[in-house]
Amino acid sequence: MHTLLPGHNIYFVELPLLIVLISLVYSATRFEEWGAILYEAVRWGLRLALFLIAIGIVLYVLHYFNSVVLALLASLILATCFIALNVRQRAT
Amino acid sequence: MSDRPSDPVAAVLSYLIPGLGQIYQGRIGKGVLFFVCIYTLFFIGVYLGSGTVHIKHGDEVETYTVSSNVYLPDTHDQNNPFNLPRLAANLYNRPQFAGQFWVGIAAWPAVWQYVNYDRRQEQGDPLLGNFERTPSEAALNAVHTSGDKLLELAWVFTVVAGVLNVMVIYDALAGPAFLSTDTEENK
Repeated sequence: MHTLLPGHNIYFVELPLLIVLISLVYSATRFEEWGAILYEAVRWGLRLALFLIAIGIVLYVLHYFNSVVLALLASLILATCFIALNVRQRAT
Repeated sequence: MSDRPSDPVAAVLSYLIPGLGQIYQGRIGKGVLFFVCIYTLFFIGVYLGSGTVHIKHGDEVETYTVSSNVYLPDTHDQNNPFNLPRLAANLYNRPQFAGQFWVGIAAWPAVWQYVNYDRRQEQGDPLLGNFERTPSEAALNAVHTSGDKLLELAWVFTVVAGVLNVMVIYDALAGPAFLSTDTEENK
């Protein structure tokens, strides 16, 4: 099988690369000036990373405490966080 | 949203090669950024999604190769629950290709292999070989079971590259979604 670097963890090579490239392209389709593109890319990169870390934590917890109640609770917490973030953004 | 007129020629160029439409419009920096980022994503995906494994069957060693993860298998006769037309049924069975297609010319070998694909034919296309040709089920199973999970990650790269290029095509057609206040005032 091919790998980018031999004997590495995908979370330290492929995943960051994916986040950086997606953020850059997405931001460049939103803005024209380089300053705005880079600023938006950093913001989107952080958002993506935080979202993936949150999903990772939920999956990690579920792996150890596998129950339907826990899954529902995690979904509820995530949904509340995103609604709160949206409300805050709209308010500002 | 930009109020400049639509530029379909640039949109087509950006479909063919990511960023080419922006370069054609004189937005060279952005064009190069799109080109580098999208082709990096796509070809890393192709690289990760290919592989060769050697499996021992008794005394014989069998070699199985998957040359790429960008392909559209002709499987309408094996699974078509909604009686879809042939192409739609094949896309239903492998929806990844609907995303990968938008990367442009880089995905055309898969279209060519799909149109000319013959399961009984051992040799691939005279020019393309087996590149972006549907691998045999035995090869897929062998590479999946003997390799690690990179095959799954690989098609994420290629699909994301294709889907991002849809946004790049739109940027070439109608401009960026938001313009800064400074640019708006200058108009």
